[in-house]
Amino acid sequence: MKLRIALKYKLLIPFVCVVGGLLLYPLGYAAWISFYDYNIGLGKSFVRFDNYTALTQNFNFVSCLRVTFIFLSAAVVLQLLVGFSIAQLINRVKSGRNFFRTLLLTPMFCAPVAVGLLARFMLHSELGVIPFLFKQLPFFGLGNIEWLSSPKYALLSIILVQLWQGAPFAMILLLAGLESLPQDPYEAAQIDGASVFVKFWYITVPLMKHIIAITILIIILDTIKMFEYSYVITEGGPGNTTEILSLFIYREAFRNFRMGSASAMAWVLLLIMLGLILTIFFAIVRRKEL
Amino acid sequence: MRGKNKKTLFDVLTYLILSGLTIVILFPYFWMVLSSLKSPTLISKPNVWFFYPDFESWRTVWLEKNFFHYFLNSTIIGVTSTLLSIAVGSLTAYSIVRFRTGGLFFRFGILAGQMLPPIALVIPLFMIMYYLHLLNTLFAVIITHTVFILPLTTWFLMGFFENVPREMEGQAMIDGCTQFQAFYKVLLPNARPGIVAAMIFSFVISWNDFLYALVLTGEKTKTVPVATAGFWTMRAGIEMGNLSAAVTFALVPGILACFLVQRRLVVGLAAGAMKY
Repeated sequence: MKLRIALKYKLLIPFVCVVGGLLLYPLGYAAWISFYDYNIGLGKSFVRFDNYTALTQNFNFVSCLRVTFIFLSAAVVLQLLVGFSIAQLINRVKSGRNFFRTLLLTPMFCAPVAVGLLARFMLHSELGVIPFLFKQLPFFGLGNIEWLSSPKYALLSIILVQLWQGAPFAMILLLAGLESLPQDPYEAAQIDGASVFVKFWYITVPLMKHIIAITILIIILDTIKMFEYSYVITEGGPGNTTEILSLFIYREAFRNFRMGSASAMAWVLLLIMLGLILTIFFAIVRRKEL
Repeated sequence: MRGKNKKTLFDVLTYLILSGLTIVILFPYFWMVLSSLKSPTLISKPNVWFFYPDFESWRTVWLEKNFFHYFLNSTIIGVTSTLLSIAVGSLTAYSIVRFRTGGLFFRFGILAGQMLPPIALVIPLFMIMYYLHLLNTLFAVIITHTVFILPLTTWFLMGFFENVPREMEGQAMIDGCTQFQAFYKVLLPNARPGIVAAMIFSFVISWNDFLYALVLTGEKTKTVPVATAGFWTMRAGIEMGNLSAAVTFALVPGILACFLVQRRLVVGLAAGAMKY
């Protein structure tokens, strides 16, 4: 018994070293830097909370929080809806289930930066195939949309690219949930003559509450860290209509070289995420026995 | 009879919609390969679908744009960081699965750790590497990727280890093995298919990373995604063929991996996510 207790902590030594040295220490270092006016090569000076208070007055920062929030909400709603619909469809299929699942899953394995570049090419107003195809279709005006250069549609384009790449992950989690559901309640409902929607709303959704919550959490966390699309597709523009938080912080750190201010923003982002994670943990996960 | 017809109709509709979705998913791949085979004069014409393939862009990307070198960089980084994170992750996963170390909160922390925004970590790591004079080295990217894929690796391994019955280790221990011997002589070989899947997936995550590699590498140590992003220039029309070829090659390892590990990935993800 003595050995067992020792072993279970001994096994964690490498993990603690790696995470401590390469994750917690750097994050602590970032927190320390965030209290300085820090320019690599130019030196630093202690400014207390100035980097944080400056954020509330930084109009660009507030605007990019807004863009991030819109992007995030759209991503959650669309990915959940589309992911759930596809999962339901695949769950109905008897033959060819694996075929569809494999093909529909491929975007998850693609490098986001490559997907972004491809999207930029395909949506390009003169060279792109998507505006070209829409021009052939009789839908009003769809062919004339400036997908990337109009402030109205640029964010929508990025949301759609994110949907293409992100929905498969939501789909696979929800499909795993659907496949593990017990069949009895559905048979009982069948006998009572319940409609498809009644079955979905009163049986499927309550039984899958946890997996839906985990899926939402994963979509949120996955979307909030998105950097590549804004960086390669629109470079934050036009104006700053697609300037999401990650890109904003990147520019502050590696274009303006203001490490202190960038670290403060990074910590704001971390605290937002920590808040979300803890909320979901205490609201849903903890109530279920391990 | 009416009910049966209705069911058949639903089935047909299901297949139709799924086929439509499959086209939406596959069309960008098709267009990418098609464009990479277009000659520079055709690349600016989205209305040309049939032509004689021209491998000029492929040749340029591999031979003139040093893609061999970047492929090698990405492979070295991916393989090394995968091996390191599997070594650390398997010990951690074993501790969590067999001894419930840290309880539900630790388990959940592993899930949340995968989602750490890279931008928050890349700033201090950049500064640390700068002061240690490790910028523009493969080493910097390798250790960064190790810590960034570690939570995911651990999460997967936890799922796979849980599927190996505990009794097998108990049996080995009755035969005189210590707990740790039972781990690497019994559990690891039995979980091998899962471990291989976790390795392939970790490799893909490392391969696909852009932000860490962008900040930590230089001209000589560029990875494939960073090099690919360099193909978008102001002369967009001229470079598009090369860009399409580069994107094609950047995506091949990931898509191959998808076909290899898809089935196990589903098991791993399901096992991991159902635990909460």
